[in-house]
Amino acid sequence: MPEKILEFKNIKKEFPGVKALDDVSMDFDKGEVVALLGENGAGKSTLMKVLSGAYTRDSGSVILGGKELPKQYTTLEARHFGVAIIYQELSLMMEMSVMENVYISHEPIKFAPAKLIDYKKMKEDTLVQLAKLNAQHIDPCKKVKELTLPEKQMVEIAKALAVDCKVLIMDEPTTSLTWEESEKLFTIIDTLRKQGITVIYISHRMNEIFQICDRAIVMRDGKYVGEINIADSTPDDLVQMMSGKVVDVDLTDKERGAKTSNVILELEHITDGGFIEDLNLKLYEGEVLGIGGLVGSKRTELARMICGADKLVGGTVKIKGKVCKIKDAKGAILNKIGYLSENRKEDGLSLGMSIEENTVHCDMGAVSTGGIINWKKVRGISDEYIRKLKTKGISATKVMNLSGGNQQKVAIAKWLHAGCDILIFDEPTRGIDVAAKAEIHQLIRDFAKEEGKAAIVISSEVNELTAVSDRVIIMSKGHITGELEGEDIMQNNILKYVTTKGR
Amino acid sequence: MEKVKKNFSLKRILSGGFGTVLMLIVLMLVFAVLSPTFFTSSNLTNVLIQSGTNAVISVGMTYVIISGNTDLSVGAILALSSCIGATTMVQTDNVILGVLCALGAGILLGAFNGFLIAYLKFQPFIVTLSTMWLFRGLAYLYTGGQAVTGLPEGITSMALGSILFIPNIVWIIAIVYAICYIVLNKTTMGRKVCAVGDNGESARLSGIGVKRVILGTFILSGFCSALSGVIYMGRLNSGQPIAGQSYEMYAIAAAVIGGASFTKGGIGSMGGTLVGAIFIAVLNNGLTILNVNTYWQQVCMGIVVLLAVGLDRFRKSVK
Repeated sequence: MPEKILEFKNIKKEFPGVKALDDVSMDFDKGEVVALLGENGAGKSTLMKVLSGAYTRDSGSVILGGKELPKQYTTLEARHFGVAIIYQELSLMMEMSVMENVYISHEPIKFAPAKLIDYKKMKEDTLVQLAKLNAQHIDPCKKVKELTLPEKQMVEIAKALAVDCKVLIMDEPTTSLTWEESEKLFTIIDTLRKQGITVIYISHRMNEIFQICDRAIVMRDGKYVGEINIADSTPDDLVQMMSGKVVDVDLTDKERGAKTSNVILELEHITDGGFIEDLNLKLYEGEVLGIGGLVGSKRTELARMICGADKLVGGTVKIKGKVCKIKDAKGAILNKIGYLSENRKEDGLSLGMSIEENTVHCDMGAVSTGGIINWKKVRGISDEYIRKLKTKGISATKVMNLSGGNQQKVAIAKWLHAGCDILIFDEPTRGIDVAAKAEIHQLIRDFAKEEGKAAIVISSEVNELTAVSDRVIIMSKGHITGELEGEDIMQNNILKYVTTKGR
Repeated sequence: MEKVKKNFSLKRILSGGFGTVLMLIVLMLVFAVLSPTFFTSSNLTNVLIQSGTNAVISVGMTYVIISGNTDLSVGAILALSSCIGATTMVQTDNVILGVLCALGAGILLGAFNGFLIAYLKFQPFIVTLSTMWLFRGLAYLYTGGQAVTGLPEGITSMALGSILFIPNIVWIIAIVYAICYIVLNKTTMGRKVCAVGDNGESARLSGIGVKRVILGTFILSGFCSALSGVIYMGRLNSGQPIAGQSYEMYAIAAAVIGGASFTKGGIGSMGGTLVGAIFIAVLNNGLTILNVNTYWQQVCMGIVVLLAVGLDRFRKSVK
């Protein structure tokens, strides 16, 4: 019988108007990797925040290593109990060195009366922690901002290990990693498991869960729904349990449209002065063009240049046969081409403003006369998108109070309202649950099938490309390395191209 | 949607926008109890008149703060533009022309700030700190450090007169606030200011002309400072190069007491700022009536702004 390391008993947490956690009980064994799944707003993050001390539970108990944790504790205390959490957005001090980050708030001390920091010991200890992760190549004296993203993640994990971590929570750790980097991370998770550390792994990516987890626990609407052993189940079982709905499936060949002859967007000799060189691409009316590739394939950079977010260094953009000189995002929208950013929080939404205001941000002219806004009209438009996209919230809700998936829906609504003919969706369903994904894919397809319109979808998820695209191109280091049409659009084919290196 | 229960607890009242108003009412009641002269109509009118210069400056300041910036040069703009207006009046004996020159100067000075910040990407704090000295210095140089006197009659009656028994200053405050309230809440221009302050990068990618919006807020701030300078000039019947010292701090305080966030853009309201400006005027007036010495008045001012910021933190924690 394996040793129980962590138990939740009847945890309740309520926010104004929402039961975020409703009598949740579950337990975790020592040295096991458990996937925690659920749609957006299912309560995973809330539960983890209760554990890590960011939230205080209303009732129920948390038992860690046989001892009940106090009702209220800080995140720092949680670290010392042996609970560490690694968020999607890493929480490291970028201007400080690796070792200072690893030993922050419990620095080794020499000459006790003066509390001088023993940097020599700190460096040695840091190397010991990094060695546990096979990451000795990271220089403990380097500033964190100089590291690559996976290296930063290593530092986060080392920081957790440095306080004798028993339970490590990872919240969507592979979102910004390339495929190879993810593989490396999985090896490390395996090492942690062997060292007896319990890893709670939050992710939406099925293949990852089936690759590294021992068990999966599903939550829905703030409740514990059930759990399965990974060894004796299939991804479909899990998805069914999560949503209770049918999932997003690949398009059939019949649904995939053939290329029309009308070129709606034509890129000629596009150059960014770096990786992208002499790139040519045509987008046809009525199609959804998927762009696959790894992180670093410069897909986003290409999209941002076309849509005026960044400077176009060289080449021409023709829209419906007309050469367009696009200086900035405003110019792009005037030319009816829009770009849905991959980072909704940084540059996609005004978080402090309401759903309705965000919805009309790209085209305030449409809801105003002589500069005076017609708020009734705004409300109407916003209500309609909320209904269409099944966004959870009302028009007046501030976007910052929505879950990630619902925020993404607001961002999509905003661009659908922008009145563009061509929309580029960059990672449109990042961090969104499976059921909502299918809805968003349908919206993108519906948009592209309207007269005189077309869409581009940039995605790192291969099954997203197969589910939404009429045609797929693969980019690698700024070059188009492959193109797939019709029945060739299969996950294996895309993966083959994606992993092929560019020139 | 679930119905939210109505709950009239103190917590709820303080957490809404009503908290500042409540604070103002409490403050007025305290003064009314302590001094019999406070609650007379003549004194209350006085308070409104005293709040005038600051209230008008605070309008521009609120826009600037909502767009995520700050303007430390408002007091200096007030001084320089009113001196320019005053000399014009003295030389031409034309009040209207003098007022227009002052307002024009304010717009240009504000545009100068805005241009450096929006188009050359200078730090707003540093730019306006520099122009605070620059404009102030120019005001001294321009007047030789002396007050500009001998203004035509009209300017005083313009600032101190009344229409329909209501002082002109109150009319000016009412009109400026009404227009700026409508612009902020009902027009695309105003919502763009909020959007830029809330998330500048998102606003840019949504096709909002971020640079123009920022330039606009600084022009408005310059204009409001100059308008305030005109009121000041009328009240003292002279153009003063030393006018408006540390007014930037009062304006920031009014906006912050009114709920604007100094660290995060996108938050703030005209109504809140007006209450904030009146609050400061009431405080100064009440303490003066009670014969509290000026040193203690400053101490009180400091405590009150801290309380207001504390209330703001409390509001957020309740949410």
